[in-house]
Amino acid sequence: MSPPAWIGDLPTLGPGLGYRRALRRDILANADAVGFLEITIEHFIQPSFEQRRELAALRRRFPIVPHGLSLSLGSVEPADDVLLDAIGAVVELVRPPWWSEHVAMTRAGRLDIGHLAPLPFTRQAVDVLCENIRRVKQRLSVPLILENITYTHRFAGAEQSEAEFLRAVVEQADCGLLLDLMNVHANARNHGYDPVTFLDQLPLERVVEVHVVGGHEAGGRVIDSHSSPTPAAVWDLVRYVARRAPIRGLIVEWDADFPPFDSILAELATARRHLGGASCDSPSSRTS
Amino acid sequence: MRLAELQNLVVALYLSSDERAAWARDPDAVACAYGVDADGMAALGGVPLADLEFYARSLLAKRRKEAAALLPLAAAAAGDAFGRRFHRYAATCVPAGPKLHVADLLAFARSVAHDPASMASQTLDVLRYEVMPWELNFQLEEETVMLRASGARLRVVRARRAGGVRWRIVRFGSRVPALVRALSMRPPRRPPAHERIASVGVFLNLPPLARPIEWYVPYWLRRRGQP
Repeated sequence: MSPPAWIGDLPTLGPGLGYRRALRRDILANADAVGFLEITIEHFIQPSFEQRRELAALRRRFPIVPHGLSLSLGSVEPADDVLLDAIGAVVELVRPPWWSEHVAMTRAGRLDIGHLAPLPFTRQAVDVLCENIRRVKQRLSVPLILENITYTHRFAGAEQSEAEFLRAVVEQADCGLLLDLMNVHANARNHGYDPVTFLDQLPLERVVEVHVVGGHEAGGRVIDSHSSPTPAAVWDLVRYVARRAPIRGLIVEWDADFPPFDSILAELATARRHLGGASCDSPSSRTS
Repeated sequence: MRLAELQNLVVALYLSSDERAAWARDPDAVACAYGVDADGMAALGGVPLADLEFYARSLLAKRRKEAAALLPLAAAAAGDAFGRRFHRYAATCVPAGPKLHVADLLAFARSVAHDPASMASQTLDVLRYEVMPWELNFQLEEETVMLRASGARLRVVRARRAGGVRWRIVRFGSRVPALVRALSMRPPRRPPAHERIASVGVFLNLPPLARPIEWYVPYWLRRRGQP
């Protein structure tokens, strides 16, 4: 199936890194190996003078894709306009080709979970997500892509599978998919299903970006701690998706327990191989 | 399904051990307190309590790791005591908003300041030092939320960026530069005896400078009646 025209128009950025200040020096020293950077929007909300300078310096060297955590698109209670405006300001500051959020909930009733929590896979939850996305799109015209999350528990009485739920949301809201393949791997291992069957049920023509990185095992569960090399099983899923979807960007999302930077560069090189040597747009078009 | 009500209950269960205990004792009463209907009960009833506990523990662990990452010297100096003290604070206080990690570390540091006996004096000193850039750049706002099933109260804290010139005067038990050097070593050490004199730190935040300006002045506390 063909992707929507707006996805077809997106640039190809290749493999990139989740931006973490601890890696800044190494990232800048190895800029040629990094196709783009993904920033966490909440780190730059109400930016200080120093943060504005930091973003401007990064923007001169790399395309930047903002990644949000706090919109809680799955909450019945929508994000307030102040938060939406603050997020919009960060997105507009970096002029990205797309930005991303999650199919998840992070708060309800004035309480903030501080992490991404699952939703019931119901028609009602799809409608709530789509209404919140509609509000966001009224504020921000930059294309939005949505990430699948990992979850330790699922609600009973689901009306659809997770894959059907994700498909319904991205098609009804006309968004792209940010496919976190470590999350797919973790959920498949933890909840006992085949990740390839899961992927086959998704609208892969809407995949814009992919996330990879490794985690660890604890209490018999796979935890997506973003703290170790990408497992071979996840690279297998990258190859599987790359043969079926024109992935525009892949982010190595290493957040903690940073190894020597050569190890992270090796992840980027592996990503480049698995994406089939998909070339980035020319350096002159990397910043617009 | 009353989805909003279900979400309110689910979030309270994630964040409060008191609400989880109430849920374990009498889920029907808890669902009624939150206005959750039969469909919501059925959805949540299928989640084992052990899974909710696992998720709640992972949330606390994440908060502790974030706080330790933002207060590395204090976390290293305190060792396991950092985690124990953080968990005690985190049981009744939750951060909110887009700057929730900043809110968490500010509220944690203030909870330790109100209970100084809970940490060794040098750890306390370096905690006061490490939190200073955040103290000078953010304001902490607080509200109390009463949980509907257990009646327990949760403090909810939010951090907002503060503008303008701000300053603080803080008393330390050691000369801070020497303390920071000693605690930065692996393993962390005590500063030499001659550096363990009380000092007063003056911190001045002058935007757009990235870090506050710091001055330290040693002082000698005279006991009443002595020349």
